[in-house]
Amino acid sequence: MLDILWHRLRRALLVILGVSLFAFMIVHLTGDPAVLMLPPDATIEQVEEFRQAMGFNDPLWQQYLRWLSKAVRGDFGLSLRHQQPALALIAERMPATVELTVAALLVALLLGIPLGVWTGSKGNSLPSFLGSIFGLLGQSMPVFWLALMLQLLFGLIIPIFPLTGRGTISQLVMPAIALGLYTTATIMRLLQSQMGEVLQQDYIRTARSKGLSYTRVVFKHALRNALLPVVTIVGLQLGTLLGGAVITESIFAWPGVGRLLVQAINNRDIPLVQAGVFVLAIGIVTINLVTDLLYTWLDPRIRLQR
Amino acid sequence: MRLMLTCKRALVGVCLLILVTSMALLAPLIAPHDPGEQNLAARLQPPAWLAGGSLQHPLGTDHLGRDILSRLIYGSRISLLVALIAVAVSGTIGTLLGVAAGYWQGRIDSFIMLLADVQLAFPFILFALAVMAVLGPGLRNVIVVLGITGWVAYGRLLRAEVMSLRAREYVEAVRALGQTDGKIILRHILPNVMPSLIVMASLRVANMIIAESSLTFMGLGVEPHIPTWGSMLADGRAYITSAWWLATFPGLAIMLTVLGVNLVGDWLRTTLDPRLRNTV
Repeated sequence: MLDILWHRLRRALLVILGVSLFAFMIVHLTGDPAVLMLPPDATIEQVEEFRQAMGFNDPLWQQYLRWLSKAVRGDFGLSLRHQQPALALIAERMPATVELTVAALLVALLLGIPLGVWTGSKGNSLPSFLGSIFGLLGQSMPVFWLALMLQLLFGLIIPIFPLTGRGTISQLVMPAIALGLYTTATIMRLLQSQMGEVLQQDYIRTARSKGLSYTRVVFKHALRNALLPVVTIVGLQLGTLLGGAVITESIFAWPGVGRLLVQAINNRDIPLVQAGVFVLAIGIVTINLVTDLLYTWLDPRIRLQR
Repeated sequence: MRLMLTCKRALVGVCLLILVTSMALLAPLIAPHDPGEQNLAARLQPPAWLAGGSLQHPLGTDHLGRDILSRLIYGSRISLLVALIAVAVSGTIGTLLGVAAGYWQGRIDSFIMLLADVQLAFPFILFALAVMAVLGPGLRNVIVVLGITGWVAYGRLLRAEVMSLRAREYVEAVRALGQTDGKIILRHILPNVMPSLIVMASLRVANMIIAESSLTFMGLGVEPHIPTWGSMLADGRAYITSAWWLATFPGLAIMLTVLGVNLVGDWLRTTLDPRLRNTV
Protein backbone atom coordinates (compact mmCIF):
# COMPACT_ATOMS: atom_id res chain seq x y z
CA MET A 1 0.00 0.00 0.00
CA LEU A 2 2.90 2.35 0.79
CA ASP A 3 4.35 1.61 -2.65
CA ILE A 4 1.08 2.56 -4.30
CA LEU A 5 0.86 5.70 -2.18
CA TRP A 6 4.39 6.74 -3.15
CA HIS A 7 3.80 6.00 -6.83
CA ARG A 8 0.55 8.00 -6.92
CA LEU A 9 2.05 10.88 -4.94
CA ARG A 10 5.00 11.13 -7.32
CA ARG A 11 2.63 11.15 -10.27
CA ALA A 12 0.47 13.84 -8.66
CA LEU A 13 3.53 16.05 -8.13
CA LEU A 14 4.49 15.66 -11.80
CA VAL A 15 0.95 16.59 -12.83
CA ILE A 16 1.05 19.67 -10.59
CA LEU A 17 4.31 20.67 -12.25
CA GLY A 18 2.62 20.31 -15.65
CA VAL A 19 -0.35 22.32 -14.40
CA SER A 20 2.00 25.08 -13.25
CA LEU A 21 3.58 25.17 -16.70
CA PHE A 22 0.19 25.62 -18.33
CA ALA A 23 -0.94 28.25 -15.81
CA PHE A 24 2.28 30.14 -16.54
CA MET A 25 1.93 29.75 -20.31
CA ILE A 26 -1.64 31.16 -20.41
CA VAL A 27 -0.18 34.62 -20.50
CA HIS A 28 2.28 33.81 -23.29
CA LEU A 29 -0.24 32.23 -25.67
CA THR A 30 -0.57 35.35 -27.79
CA GLY A 31 3.11 36.19 -27.78
CA ASP A 32 3.26 39.46 -25.87
CA PRO A 33 1.91 39.29 -22.31
CA ALA A 34 2.43 43.04 -21.75
CA VAL A 35 -0.01 43.89 -24.55
CA LEU A 36 -2.49 41.35 -23.17
CA MET A 37 -2.38 42.70 -19.62
CA LEU A 38 -2.40 46.43 -20.36
CA PRO A 39 -5.41 48.41 -21.57
CA PRO A 40 -5.67 48.75 -25.38
CA ASP A 41 -4.89 52.49 -25.21
CA ALA A 42 -1.49 51.98 -23.49
CA THR A 43 1.39 53.76 -25.28
CA ILE A 44 4.41 51.92 -26.68
CA GLU A 45 6.54 53.42 -23.88
CA GLN A 46 4.11 52.19 -21.22
CA VAL A 47 4.10 48.71 -22.75
CA GLU A 48 7.92 48.61 -22.82
CA GLU A 49 8.16 49.90 -19.25
CA PHE A 50 5.65 47.28 -18.07
CA ARG A 51 7.49 44.56 -19.98
CA GLN A 52 10.75 45.56 -18.29
CA ALA A 53 9.16 45.77 -14.82
CA MET A 54 7.52 42.34 -15.13
CA GLY A 55 10.65 40.71 -16.55
CA PHE A 56 8.94 39.72 -19.82
CA ASN A 57 12.16 40.37 -21.76
CA ASP A 58 13.98 37.53 -19.97
CA PRO A 59 14.18 34.04 -21.52
CA LEU A 60 10.95 32.06 -21.05
CA TRP A 61 12.49 29.38 -18.81
CA GLN A 62 13.86 32.05 -16.45
CA GLN A 63 10.44 33.67 -16.27
CA TYR A 64 8.84 30.28 -15.54
CA LEU A 65 11.28 29.41 -12.75
CA ARG A 66 10.78 32.83 -11.20
CA TRP A 67 6.99 32.49 -11.44
CA LEU A 68 7.07 28.94 -10.04
CA SER A 69 9.32 29.83 -7.11
CA LYS A 70 6.90 32.60 -6.18
CA ALA A 71 3.81 30.44 -6.82
CA VAL A 72 4.96 27.69 -4.42
CA ARG A 73 5.19 30.40 -1.77
CA GLY A 74 1.65 31.49 -2.62
CA ASP A 75 2.71 34.66 -4.42
CA PHE A 76 0.89 35.00 -7.73
CA GLY A 77 1.28 38.75 -7.80
CA LEU A 78 -1.36 41.43 -7.43
CA SER A 79 -4.71 41.23 -9.16
CA LEU A 80 -4.63 43.91 -11.86
CA ARG A 81 -8.19 44.98 -11.11
CA HIS A 82 -8.49 44.54 -7.33
CA GLN A 83 -4.89 45.52 -6.54
CA GLN A 84 -4.80 42.82 -3.86
CA PRO A 85 -2.77 39.59 -3.73
CA ALA A 86 -4.41 37.19 -6.21
CA LEU A 87 -4.21 34.17 -3.89
CA ALA A 88 -5.88 36.07 -1.04
CA LEU A 89 -8.80 36.87 -3.34
CA ILE A 90 -9.11 33.22 -4.33
CA ALA A 91 -8.90 32.08 -0.69
CA GLU A 92 -11.60 34.56 0.29
CA ARG A 93 -14.02 33.12 -2.31
CA MET A 94 -13.09 29.46 -1.87
CA PRO A 95 -15.54 28.65 0.99
CA ALA A 96 -18.50 29.66 -1.21
CA THR A 97 -17.34 27.40 -4.05
CA VAL A 98 -16.68 24.48 -1.69
CA GLU A 99 -20.13 24.98 -0.14
CA LEU A 100 -21.82 24.90 -3.55
CA THR A 101 -19.80 21.95 -4.82
CA VAL A 102 -20.41 19.88 -1.68
CA ALA A 103 -24.13 20.72 -1.77
CA ALA A 104 -24.31 19.68 -5.45
CA LEU A 105 -22.48 16.46 -4.66
CA LEU A 106 -24.90 15.74 -1.83
CA VAL A 107 -27.82 16.29 -4.19
CA ALA A 108 -26.18 13.88 -6.65
CA LEU A 109 -25.48 11.19 -4.07
CA LEU A 110 -28.79 11.47 -2.22
CA LEU A 111 -30.78 11.28 -5.45
CA GLY A 112 -28.48 9.29 -7.71
CA ILE A 113 -27.76 6.31 -5.44
CA PRO A 114 -31.34 5.50 -4.37
CA LEU A 115 -32.63 6.03 -7.92
CA GLY A 116 -29.83 3.90 -9.37
CA VAL A 117 -30.43 1.07 -6.89
CA TRP A 118 -34.18 1.20 -7.34
CA THR A 119 -34.24 1.28 -11.12
CA GLY A 120 -31.28 -1.11 -11.44
CA SER A 121 -32.89 -3.80 -9.32
CA LYS A 122 -36.18 -3.73 -11.20
CA GLY A 123 -35.01 -5.36 -14.44
CA ASN A 124 -36.92 -4.43 -17.58
CA SER A 125 -39.78 -2.63 -15.88
CA LEU A 126 -41.43 0.78 -15.91
CA PRO A 127 -39.25 2.21 -13.08
CA SER A 128 -36.17 1.07 -14.97
CA PHE A 129 -37.44 2.70 -18.17
CA LEU A 130 -38.34 5.96 -16.39
CA GLY A 131 -34.96 5.93 -14.68
CA SER A 132 -33.24 5.60 -18.03
CA ILE A 133 -35.24 8.54 -19.41
CA PHE A 134 -34.33 10.65 -16.36
CA GLY A 135 -30.68 9.67 -16.74
CA LEU A 136 -30.58 10.53 -20.43
CA LEU A 137 -32.38 13.85 -20.00
CA GLY A 138 -30.19 14.76 -17.02
CA GLN A 139 -27.08 14.17 -19.08
CA SER A 140 -28.44 16.07 -22.07
CA MET A 141 -29.38 19.29 -20.29
CA PRO A 142 -26.77 22.06 -20.32
CA VAL A 143 -26.11 23.33 -16.78
CA PHE A 144 -26.71 26.96 -17.73
CA TRP A 145 -30.08 26.23 -19.29
CA LEU A 146 -31.23 24.15 -16.35
CA ALA A 147 -30.15 27.01 -14.06
CA LEU A 148 -32.19 29.52 -16.07
CA MET A 149 -35.23 27.23 -16.13
CA LEU A 150 -35.03 26.70 -12.36
CA GLN A 151 -34.89 30.46 -11.91
CA LEU A 152 -37.89 30.83 -14.19
CA LEU A 153 -39.95 28.09 -12.53
CA PHE A 154 -39.07 28.34 -8.85
CA GLY A 155 -37.90 31.93 -8.67
CA LEU A 156 -40.52 33.65 -10.81
CA ILE A 157 -43.56 31.52 -11.68
CA ILE A 158 -43.74 29.75 -8.30
CA PRO A 159 -41.50 32.05 -6.24
CA ILE A 160 -40.32 29.71 -3.49
CA PHE A 161 -36.55 30.24 -3.83
CA PRO A 162 -34.55 33.46 -4.15
CA LEU A 163 -33.21 34.06 -7.67
CA THR A 164 -29.64 34.88 -6.68
CA GLY A 165 -27.22 35.41 -3.81
CA ARG A 166 -25.70 33.43 -0.96
CA GLY A 167 -26.30 33.28 2.76
CA THR A 168 -29.38 31.16 3.41
CA ILE A 169 -30.19 27.51 2.76
CA SER A 170 -32.99 28.52 0.38
CA GLN A 171 -30.45 30.41 -1.73
CA LEU A 172 -28.36 27.25 -2.00
CA VAL A 173 -31.16 24.97 -3.25
CA MET A 174 -31.40 26.02 -6.91
CA PRO A 175 -27.66 26.38 -7.62
CA ALA A 176 -27.01 23.00 -5.96
CA ILE A 177 -29.70 21.26 -8.04
CA ALA A 178 -28.59 22.97 -11.26
CA LEU A 179 -24.99 21.99 -10.67
CA GLY A 180 -25.71 18.51 -9.29
CA LEU A 181 -28.26 17.18 -11.78
CA TYR A 182 -25.75 16.04 -14.39
CA THR A 183 -23.79 14.14 -11.75
CA THR A 184 -27.05 12.72 -10.35
CA ALA A 185 -27.88 11.34 -13.78
CA THR A 186 -24.35 9.98 -14.25
CA ILE A 187 -24.34 8.20 -10.87
CA MET A 188 -27.84 6.90 -11.45
CA ARG A 189 -27.04 5.48 -14.89
CA LEU A 190 -23.83 3.87 -13.71
CA LEU A 191 -25.43 2.31 -10.66
CA GLN A 192 -28.42 1.17 -12.68
CA SER A 193 -26.21 -0.75 -15.10
CA GLN A 194 -23.91 -2.01 -12.31
CA MET A 195 -26.83 -3.30 -10.25
CA GLY A 196 -28.31 -4.99 -13.30
CA GLU A 197 -25.01 -6.77 -13.85
CA VAL A 198 -24.17 -7.61 -10.23
CA LEU A 199 -27.64 -9.07 -9.63
CA GLN A 200 -26.95 -11.64 -12.38
CA GLN A 201 -23.84 -12.97 -10.57
CA ASP A 202 -23.69 -16.48 -9.11
CA TYR A 203 -23.07 -15.32 -5.54
CA ILE A 204 -26.31 -13.35 -5.62
CA ARG A 205 -28.17 -16.46 -6.73
CA THR A 206 -26.46 -18.37 -3.91
CA ALA A 207 -27.48 -15.74 -1.37
CA ARG A 208 -31.07 -15.91 -2.61
CA SER A 209 -31.08 -19.72 -2.52
CA LYS A 210 -29.88 -19.56 1.08
CA GLY A 211 -33.19 -17.90 1.81
CA LEU A 212 -32.07 -14.30 2.24
CA SER A 213 -34.70 -11.71 1.43
CA TYR A 214 -34.44 -9.82 -1.88
CA THR A 215 -34.01 -6.48 -0.07
CA ARG A 216 -31.16 -7.88 2.02
CA VAL A 217 -29.47 -9.33 -1.06
CA VAL A 218 -29.79 -6.01 -2.91
CA PHE A 219 -28.47 -3.84 -0.08
CA LYS A 220 -26.04 -6.16 1.66
CA HIS A 221 -24.54 -8.08 -1.26
CA ALA A 222 -25.20 -6.34 -4.57
CA LEU A 223 -24.94 -2.67 -3.58
CA ARG A 224 -21.51 -3.04 -1.94
CA ASN A 225 -20.02 -4.31 -5.17
CA ALA A 226 -21.99 -2.06 -7.47
CA LEU A 227 -20.88 1.01 -5.49
CA LEU A 228 -17.17 0.52 -6.20
CA PRO A 229 -17.13 2.17 -9.64
CA VAL A 230 -19.30 4.96 -8.21
CA VAL A 231 -16.35 5.94 -5.99
CA THR A 232 -14.24 6.60 -9.09
CA ILE A 233 -17.05 8.43 -10.84
CA VAL A 234 -17.67 10.63 -7.79
CA GLY A 235 -13.98 11.58 -7.73
CA LEU A 236 -14.00 12.42 -11.43
CA GLN A 237 -17.31 14.24 -11.12
CA LEU A 238 -15.92 16.54 -8.43
CA GLY A 239 -13.73 18.01 -11.15
CA THR A 240 -16.76 18.39 -13.40
CA LEU A 241 -18.66 20.02 -10.55
CA LEU A 242 -15.86 22.50 -9.89
CA GLY A 243 -15.87 23.33 -13.60
CA GLY A 244 -19.66 23.59 -13.71
CA ALA A 245 -19.49 25.91 -10.70
CA VAL A 246 -17.85 28.49 -12.96
CA ILE A 247 -21.10 28.84 -14.93
CA THR A 248 -23.55 28.18 -12.10
CA GLU A 249 -21.95 30.81 -9.86
CA SER A 250 -22.18 33.37 -12.64
CA ILE A 251 -25.89 32.72 -13.22
CA PHE A 252 -26.90 32.70 -9.54
CA ALA A 253 -24.52 35.56 -8.58
CA TRP A 254 -22.90 33.11 -6.15
CA PRO A 255 -19.78 34.80 -4.76
CA GLY A 256 -17.35 31.95 -5.38
CA VAL A 257 -14.07 31.37 -7.18
CA GLY A 258 -15.82 30.49 -10.46
CA ARG A 259 -17.59 33.82 -10.70
CA LEU A 260 -14.44 35.66 -9.68
CA LEU A 261 -12.52 33.87 -12.42
CA VAL A 262 -15.09 34.62 -15.10
CA GLN A 263 -14.87 38.29 -14.11
CA ALA A 264 -11.07 38.05 -14.14
CA ILE A 265 -11.14 36.46 -17.60
CA ASN A 266 -13.42 39.21 -18.91
CA ASN A 267 -11.16 41.87 -17.37
CA ARG A 268 -7.99 40.10 -18.60
CA ASP A 269 -6.78 40.06 -15.01
CA ILE A 270 -4.11 37.46 -15.80
CA PRO A 271 -2.46 37.06 -12.35
CA LEU A 272 -5.88 36.30 -10.88
CA VAL A 273 -6.70 33.85 -13.70
CA GLN A 274 -3.36 32.10 -13.20
CA ALA A 275 -3.84 31.83 -9.44
CA GLY A 276 -7.42 30.55 -9.81
CA VAL A 277 -6.62 28.01 -12.51
CA PHE A 278 -3.62 26.74 -10.53
CA VAL A 279 -5.47 26.45 -7.21
CA LEU A 280 -8.51 24.72 -8.75
CA ALA A 281 -6.28 22.33 -10.68
CA ILE A 282 -4.34 21.43 -7.53
CA GLY A 283 -7.68 20.82 -5.83
CA ILE A 284 -8.72 18.44 -8.62
CA VAL A 285 -5.36 16.62 -8.60
CA THR A 286 -5.72 16.14 -4.83
CA ILE A 287 -9.28 14.87 -5.17
CA ASN A 288 -8.20 12.44 -7.91
CA LEU A 289 -5.33 11.21 -5.75
CA VAL A 290 -7.59 10.61 -2.76
CA THR A 291 -10.18 8.86 -4.97
CA ASP A 292 -7.51 6.66 -6.48
CA LEU A 293 -6.19 5.64 -3.07
CA LEU A 294 -9.68 5.15 -1.70
CA TYR A 295 -10.53 2.88 -4.60
CA THR A 296 -7.35 0.88 -4.08
CA TRP A 297 -8.13 0.53 -0.40
CA LEU A 298 -11.79 -0.38 -0.96
CA ASP A 299 -11.17 -3.02 -3.61
CA PRO A 300 -9.48 -6.03 -2.02
CA ARG A 301 -8.57 -7.38 -5.49
CA ILE A 302 -6.26 -4.41 -5.99
CA ARG A 303 -5.21 -4.05 -2.34
CA LEU A 304 -4.11 -7.66 -1.94
CA GLN A 305 -2.48 -7.87 -5.35
CA ARG A 306 0.46 -5.71 -4.30
CA MET B 1 -35.68 -7.22 -24.71
CA ARG B 2 -32.80 -4.94 -23.79
CA LEU B 3 -31.59 -4.74 -27.39
CA MET B 4 -35.13 -4.03 -28.60
CA LEU B 5 -35.47 -1.23 -26.06
CA THR B 6 -32.12 0.19 -27.14
CA CYS B 7 -33.24 0.02 -30.79
CA LYS B 8 -36.42 1.95 -30.01
CA ARG B 9 -34.39 4.58 -28.23
CA ALA B 10 -31.94 4.68 -31.11
CA LEU B 11 -34.85 5.26 -33.48
CA VAL B 12 -35.92 8.27 -31.41
CA GLY B 13 -32.33 9.49 -31.47
CA VAL B 14 -32.03 9.03 -35.23
CA CYS B 15 -35.29 10.93 -35.78
CA LEU B 16 -34.06 13.81 -33.61
CA LEU B 17 -30.76 13.93 -35.46
CA ILE B 18 -32.43 13.79 -38.88
CA LEU B 19 -34.61 16.70 -37.80
CA VAL B 20 -31.66 18.82 -36.63
CA THR B 21 -29.47 17.92 -39.61
CA SER B 22 -32.29 18.74 -42.04
CA MET B 23 -32.78 22.06 -40.26
CA ALA B 24 -29.10 22.82 -40.64
CA LEU B 25 -28.88 21.78 -44.29
CA LEU B 26 -32.13 23.35 -45.44
CA ALA B 27 -31.96 26.48 -43.28
CA PRO B 28 -32.22 29.02 -46.13
CA LEU B 29 -35.21 27.17 -47.57
CA ILE B 30 -37.23 26.50 -44.43
CA ALA B 31 -36.48 29.50 -42.20
CA PRO B 32 -39.46 31.87 -42.40
CA HIS B 33 -37.28 34.98 -41.94
CA ASP B 34 -33.70 36.16 -42.25
CA PRO B 35 -32.16 35.30 -38.83
CA GLY B 36 -30.55 38.75 -38.56
CA GLU B 37 -33.59 40.74 -39.72
CA GLN B 38 -34.59 43.19 -36.99
CA ASN B 39 -38.08 44.56 -36.46
CA LEU B 40 -38.23 46.69 -33.34
CA ALA B 41 -41.98 47.19 -33.77
CA ALA B 42 -42.45 43.46 -33.20
CA ARG B 43 -39.90 43.02 -30.38
CA LEU B 44 -40.51 40.46 -27.61
CA GLN B 45 -43.56 39.04 -29.32
CA PRO B 46 -44.70 35.82 -27.58
CA PRO B 47 -45.12 32.47 -29.37
CA ALA B 48 -48.14 32.09 -31.66
CA TRP B 49 -50.28 30.13 -29.17
CA LEU B 50 -50.11 32.88 -26.54
CA ALA B 51 -52.10 36.11 -26.45
CA GLY B 52 -50.26 38.72 -28.51
CA GLY B 53 -48.46 36.12 -30.63
CA SER B 54 -48.79 35.72 -34.38
CA LEU B 55 -48.26 32.92 -36.89
CA GLN B 56 -45.73 35.12 -38.63
CA HIS B 57 -43.37 34.38 -35.73
CA PRO B 58 -44.45 30.92 -34.48
CA LEU B 59 -41.94 30.87 -31.59
CA GLY B 60 -42.04 34.61 -30.97
CA THR B 61 -39.39 37.28 -31.40
CA ASP B 62 -36.39 38.44 -29.36
CA HIS B 63 -35.48 41.84 -27.92
CA LEU B 64 -34.53 43.12 -31.38
CA GLY B 65 -37.62 41.72 -33.04
CA ARG B 66 -35.73 38.89 -34.74
CA ASP B 67 -37.66 35.70 -35.46
CA ILE B 68 -36.76 33.01 -32.89
CA LEU B 69 -37.67 30.04 -35.10
CA SER B 70 -35.42 31.29 -37.91
CA ARG B 71 -32.55 31.88 -35.50
CA LEU B 72 -33.06 28.40 -34.03
CA ILE B 73 -32.93 26.88 -37.51
CA TYR B 74 -29.77 28.77 -38.45
CA GLY B 75 -28.28 28.16 -35.00
CA SER B 76 -28.34 24.42 -35.64
CA ARG B 77 -25.75 24.95 -38.40
CA ILE B 78 -23.16 26.39 -36.02
CA SER B 79 -23.80 23.84 -33.29
CA LEU B 80 -23.41 20.90 -35.65
CA LEU B 81 -20.53 22.44 -37.61
CA VAL B 82 -18.48 23.26 -34.50
CA ALA B 83 -19.24 19.92 -32.86
CA LEU B 84 -18.36 17.84 -35.92
CA ILE B 85 -15.14 19.68 -36.75
CA ALA B 86 -14.07 19.72 -33.08
CA VAL B 87 -14.74 15.98 -32.84
CA ALA B 88 -12.72 15.38 -36.02
CA VAL B 89 -9.80 17.48 -34.72
CA SER B 90 -9.79 16.04 -31.22
CA GLY B 91 -10.37 12.53 -32.56
CA THR B 92 -7.36 12.83 -34.87
CA ILE B 93 -5.09 14.20 -32.14
CA GLY B 94 -6.36 11.63 -29.63
CA THR B 95 -5.93 8.76 -32.09
CA LEU B 96 -2.36 9.75 -32.96
CA LEU B 97 -1.34 10.18 -29.32
CA GLY B 98 -3.29 7.18 -28.03
CA VAL B 99 -1.92 4.84 -30.70
CA ALA B 100 1.63 6.14 -30.14
CA ALA B 101 1.34 5.66 -26.36
CA GLY B 102 -0.17 2.19 -26.65
CA TYR B 103 2.10 0.92 -29.41
CA TRP B 104 5.50 2.24 -28.38
CA GLN B 105 4.79 2.44 -24.62
CA GLY B 106 7.80 3.32 -22.41
CA ARG B 107 8.70 6.98 -22.18
CA ILE B 108 6.40 8.06 -25.01
CA ASP B 109 3.49 6.50 -23.15
CA SER B 110 4.50 8.08 -19.81
CA PHE B 111 4.80 11.51 -21.38
CA ILE B 112 1.50 11.34 -23.27
CA MET B 113 -0.37 10.05 -20.23
CA LEU B 114 1.19 12.79 -18.10
CA LEU B 115 -0.08 15.29 -20.65
CA ALA B 116 -3.54 13.73 -20.36
CA ASP B 117 -3.45 13.87 -16.55
CA VAL B 118 -2.39 17.52 -16.63
CA GLN B 119 -5.25 18.38 -18.94
CA LEU B 120 -7.75 16.45 -16.83
CA ALA B 121 -6.64 18.49 -13.82
CA PHE B 122 -8.26 21.58 -15.32
CA PRO B 123 -12.01 21.97 -15.20
CA PHE B 124 -12.75 21.85 -18.93
CA ILE B 125 -14.85 24.99 -19.11
CA LEU B 126 -12.30 26.99 -17.13
CA PHE B 127 -9.50 25.76 -19.37
CA ALA B 128 -11.48 26.69 -22.47
CA LEU B 129 -12.57 30.07 -21.06
CA ALA B 130 -9.00 30.98 -20.10
CA VAL B 131 -7.67 30.09 -23.55
CA MET B 132 -10.56 31.83 -25.31
CA ALA B 133 -9.99 34.94 -23.22
CA VAL B 134 -6.42 35.10 -24.49
CA LEU B 135 -7.09 34.07 -28.11
CA GLY B 136 -10.29 36.09 -28.33
CA PRO B 137 -13.81 35.00 -29.29
CA GLY B 138 -14.53 33.62 -32.76
CA LEU B 139 -15.73 30.55 -34.59
CA ARG B 140 -12.23 29.39 -35.53
CA ASN B 141 -10.89 29.81 -31.99
CA VAL B 142 -13.83 27.86 -30.53
CA ILE B 143 -13.07 24.97 -32.87
CA VAL B 144 -9.35 25.15 -32.04
CA VAL B 145 -9.96 25.18 -28.28
CA LEU B 146 -12.54 22.38 -28.33
CA GLY B 147 -10.44 20.35 -30.76
CA ILE B 148 -7.30 20.62 -28.67
CA THR B 149 -8.94 20.07 -25.29
CA GLY B 150 -11.05 17.09 -26.35
CA TRP B 151 -8.33 14.59 -27.27
CA VAL B 152 -7.86 12.99 -23.83
CA ALA B 153 -10.91 10.73 -23.96
CA TYR B 154 -9.78 9.23 -27.30
CA GLY B 155 -6.15 9.06 -26.23
CA ARG B 156 -6.86 7.05 -23.10
CA LEU B 157 -9.31 4.70 -24.79
CA LEU B 158 -7.09 3.97 -27.79
CA ARG B 159 -3.97 3.56 -25.67
CA ALA B 160 -5.65 0.74 -23.74
CA GLU B 161 -7.02 -0.85 -26.92
CA VAL B 162 -3.72 -0.68 -28.78
CA MET B 163 -1.80 -2.08 -25.80
CA SER B 164 -4.05 -5.09 -25.81
CA LEU B 165 -3.92 -5.53 -29.62
CA ARG B 166 -0.16 -5.14 -29.73
CA ALA B 167 0.25 -8.21 -27.54
CA ARG B 168 -1.92 -10.39 -29.82
CA GLU B 169 -0.31 -13.21 -31.74
CA TYR B 170 -1.31 -11.97 -35.18
CA VAL B 171 0.47 -8.65 -34.56
CA GLU B 172 3.57 -10.51 -33.41
CA ALA B 173 3.32 -12.68 -36.52
CA VAL B 174 3.23 -9.75 -38.95
CA ARG B 175 6.10 -8.15 -37.07
CA ALA B 176 8.09 -11.36 -37.40
CA LEU B 177 7.39 -11.24 -41.14
CA GLY B 178 9.23 -7.91 -41.23
CA GLN B 179 6.34 -5.44 -41.46
CA THR B 180 7.24 -1.91 -40.39
CA ASP B 181 5.56 -0.29 -37.37
CA GLY B 182 3.74 2.15 -39.63
CA LYS B 183 2.22 -0.61 -41.74
CA ILE B 184 1.30 -2.69 -38.69
CA ILE B 185 -0.51 0.29 -37.17
CA LEU B 186 -2.28 1.27 -40.38
CA ARG B 187 -3.24 -2.21 -41.61
CA HIS B 188 -3.65 -4.29 -38.48
CA ILE B 189 -4.26 -2.05 -35.49
CA LEU B 190 -6.30 0.93 -36.68
CA PRO B 191 -9.02 -1.15 -38.37
CA ASN B 192 -9.50 -3.03 -35.10
CA VAL B 193 -9.86 0.08 -32.95
CA MET B 194 -12.29 1.73 -35.37
CA PRO B 195 -15.50 0.53 -33.64
CA SER B 196 -14.38 2.01 -30.29
CA LEU B 197 -13.30 5.18 -32.03
CA ILE B 198 -16.66 5.59 -33.75
CA VAL B 199 -18.54 5.03 -30.49
CA MET B 200 -16.38 7.53 -28.63
CA ALA B 201 -16.66 10.11 -31.42
CA SER B 202 -20.44 9.81 -31.51
CA LEU B 203 -20.72 10.35 -27.76
CA ARG B 204 -18.28 13.25 -27.84
CA VAL B 205 -20.42 15.16 -30.36
CA ALA B 206 -22.89 15.72 -27.51
CA ASN B 207 -20.16 17.10 -25.23
CA MET B 208 -18.96 19.44 -27.96
CA ILE B 209 -22.44 20.84 -28.62
CA ILE B 210 -22.82 21.66 -24.92
CA ALA B 211 -19.26 23.03 -24.71
CA GLU B 212 -19.73 25.36 -27.68
CA SER B 213 -23.03 26.67 -26.36
CA SER B 214 -21.51 27.11 -22.87
CA LEU B 215 -18.62 29.16 -24.24
CA THR B 216 -20.91 31.29 -26.38
CA PHE B 217 -23.31 31.70 -23.45
CA MET B 218 -20.42 33.03 -21.37
CA GLY B 219 -19.62 35.53 -24.13
CA LEU B 220 -16.38 33.88 -25.22
CA GLY B 221 -17.55 31.69 -28.05
CA VAL B 222 -18.77 32.41 -31.55
CA GLU B 223 -19.04 36.08 -32.65
CA PRO B 224 -22.26 37.75 -31.42
CA HIS B 225 -23.66 38.49 -34.90
CA ILE B 226 -23.76 34.78 -35.83
CA PRO B 227 -26.99 33.16 -34.63
CA THR B 228 -26.18 30.28 -32.28
CA TRP B 229 -28.17 28.52 -29.59
CA GLY B 230 -25.68 29.63 -26.93
CA SER B 231 -25.88 33.30 -27.89
CA MET B 232 -29.69 33.13 -28.05
CA LEU B 233 -29.69 31.76 -24.50
CA ALA B 234 -27.31 34.49 -23.36
CA ASP B 235 -29.59 37.14 -24.90
CA GLY B 236 -32.64 35.51 -23.34
CA ARG B 237 -31.12 35.49 -19.86
CA ALA B 238 -31.67 39.24 -19.49
CA TYR B 239 -35.35 38.84 -20.40
CA ILE B 240 -36.11 35.75 -18.33
CA THR B 241 -38.60 37.69 -16.18
CA SER B 242 -40.56 39.19 -19.07
CA ALA B 243 -40.03 36.93 -22.10
CA TRP B 244 -39.40 33.31 -21.05
CA TRP B 245 -39.46 32.01 -24.64
CA LEU B 246 -36.15 33.67 -25.48
CA ALA B 247 -34.18 31.33 -23.24
CA THR B 248 -36.50 28.33 -23.29
CA PHE B 249 -36.51 27.33 -26.98
CA PRO B 250 -32.75 27.42 -27.66
CA GLY B 251 -32.18 25.38 -24.48
CA LEU B 252 -34.77 22.84 -25.63
CA ALA B 253 -33.05 22.67 -29.01
CA ILE B 254 -29.68 21.96 -27.36
CA MET B 255 -31.19 19.38 -25.04
CA LEU B 256 -33.04 17.49 -27.78
CA THR B 257 -30.00 17.47 -30.07
CA VAL B 258 -27.73 16.24 -27.29
CA LEU B 259 -30.37 13.66 -26.35
CA GLY B 260 -30.49 12.45 -29.95
CA VAL B 261 -26.71 12.15 -30.10
CA ASN B 262 -26.60 10.33 -26.75
CA LEU B 263 -29.32 7.87 -27.78
CA VAL B 264 -27.58 7.03 -31.04
CA GLY B 265 -24.21 6.90 -29.25
CA ASP B 266 -25.61 4.47 -26.66
CA TRP B 267 -26.98 2.28 -29.41
CA LEU B 268 -23.67 2.30 -31.27
CA ARG B 269 -21.91 1.42 -28.03
CA THR B 270 -24.17 -1.55 -27.44
CA THR B 271 -23.96 -2.68 -31.04
CA LEU B 272 -20.31 -2.10 -31.90
CA ASP B 273 -18.44 -2.52 -28.66
CA PRO B 274 -19.83 -4.91 -26.06
CA ARG B 275 -16.93 -4.11 -23.71
CA LEU B 276 -18.21 -0.56 -23.33
CA ARG B 277 -21.77 -1.55 -22.54
CA ASN B 278 -21.60 -0.80 -18.87
CA THR B 279 -19.68 2.43 -18.90
CA VAL B 280 -21.42 5.77 -18.65
